[in-house]
Amino acid sequence: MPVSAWLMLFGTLLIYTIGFTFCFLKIKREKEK
Amino acid sequence: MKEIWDNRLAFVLAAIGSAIGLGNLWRFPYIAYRYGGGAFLIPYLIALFTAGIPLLMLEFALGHRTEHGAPLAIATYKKNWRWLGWFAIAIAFGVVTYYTVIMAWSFIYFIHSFSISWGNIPEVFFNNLVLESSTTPLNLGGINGLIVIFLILTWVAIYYSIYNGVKTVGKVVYATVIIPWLILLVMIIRGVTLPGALDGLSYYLTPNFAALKDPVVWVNAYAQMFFTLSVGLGIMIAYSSYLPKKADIVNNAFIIGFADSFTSFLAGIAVFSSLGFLANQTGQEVASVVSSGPGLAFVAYPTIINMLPFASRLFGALFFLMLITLGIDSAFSLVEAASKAAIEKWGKFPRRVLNIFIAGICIIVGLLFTTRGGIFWLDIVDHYLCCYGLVVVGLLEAVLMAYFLNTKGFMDYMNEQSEIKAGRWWLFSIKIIVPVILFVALVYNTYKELRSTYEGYPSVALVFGFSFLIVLLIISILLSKKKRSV
Repeated sequence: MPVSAWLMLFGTLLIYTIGFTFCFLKIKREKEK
Repeated sequence: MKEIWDNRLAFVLAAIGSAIGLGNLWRFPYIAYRYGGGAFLIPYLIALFTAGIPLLMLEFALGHRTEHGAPLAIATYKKNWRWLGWFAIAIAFGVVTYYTVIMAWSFIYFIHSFSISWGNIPEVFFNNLVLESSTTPLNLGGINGLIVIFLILTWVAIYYSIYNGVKTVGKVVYATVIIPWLILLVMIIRGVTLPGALDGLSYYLTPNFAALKDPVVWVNAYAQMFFTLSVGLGIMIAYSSYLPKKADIVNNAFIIGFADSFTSFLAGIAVFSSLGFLANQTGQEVASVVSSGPGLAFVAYPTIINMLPFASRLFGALFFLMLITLGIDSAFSLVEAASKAAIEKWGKFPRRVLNIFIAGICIIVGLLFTTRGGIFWLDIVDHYLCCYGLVVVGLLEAVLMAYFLNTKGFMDYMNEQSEIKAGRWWLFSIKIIVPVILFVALVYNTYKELRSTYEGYPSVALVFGFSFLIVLLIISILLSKKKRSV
């Protein structure tokens, strides 16, 4: 598999990880308020 | 007393369950492969933030603020637009008539998977033995009794899943969302450890950035995002109407949008690693074994299952269990949207009576798709409902919200109780991006339709398929015009 394909794979996984983390941190912060 | 979800998780899972369906598995991977491979993920993610999540927020805000199903929610603000709410419900109703037939096929295959009864030529088994398919939609050739039996069983499952409205739905979704996720994980691990998997993944993930210059790729990315999130069907309006007064809207929309699109991405890994294995075993190019829709689930996958080095029956059963659990919560969410609207219109009848009535009509209409020509009709009706009906509803919903209602007021309403705040990006998406893209999609679909006949079907069949949509529109208008109507 070419490097560009690996980059798309891990890039997408990273974007979703950031996205989910952001949402769940927002929930936690609101609960703490 | 107002019905409400047991907790936030129940609502989020129900909305995710509704959004994640067969399309995530058998449509997204193929569309991604066809329109730029890994590069497709760029317009797809842009579509998620600029159309998918904003539309989810719009429907959640509408349902939560009015506490009504689609027709009454819209009529609360614009009485003359009530038909639009009914049209969304009518399309949901139309979709569920054939979606449940696919569920019936999945049940049949689940049973067959224990003995791998499809043999060495799954295509012949699917067309000749399961569907007993004719060669043209014009040859209906009678109803297939076995499919009807499993269609009724599917409806029994749906009936009990929404038996007590969101109280039951909120419990069932724990199984129907988590089970397919777990099986998908197993399928990914199994897929990527097979010989040839990386060749398959290479087809799925290698980016062709030149494709991004083609507007058709962008239209398809937005269209896929629109179809996958179950918007424009009244489902998200109905589900959010059961939220408690103080409930988050924006963050929930983000979580649901992420979960749905991420599942599609993962499904692509499971599908293409398996297709790579199929190509490897048959000595073909991956491009020549790529398929989508029923061909992927009921022909390509059984072929792959046959070739697995061990536990092929187990993986076969797991795959079809995944199809069933992926589809069932999408199916009952479609019925729940219709049920909510029906309860608000004919409140003197108990919910269960209305649900039986809806199921009865859907089974009768669904008989068309259980005939020998049923698979063709399924394809034709799906084409018109999704490419035209759904797009029109989404477009008009956004236009209504953006130009006829107090959009800023809705934004303030969402922001009052949300963990993430909607800002100008939401207004820009709803006022400009969503209407423009859906309008372009509508024009593009019409242009394609006029240029060549869809899948080469006879014109008579296509006219009938389009009439199906028109009948649903007329029914929607009649339901909204009737005196004392909701």
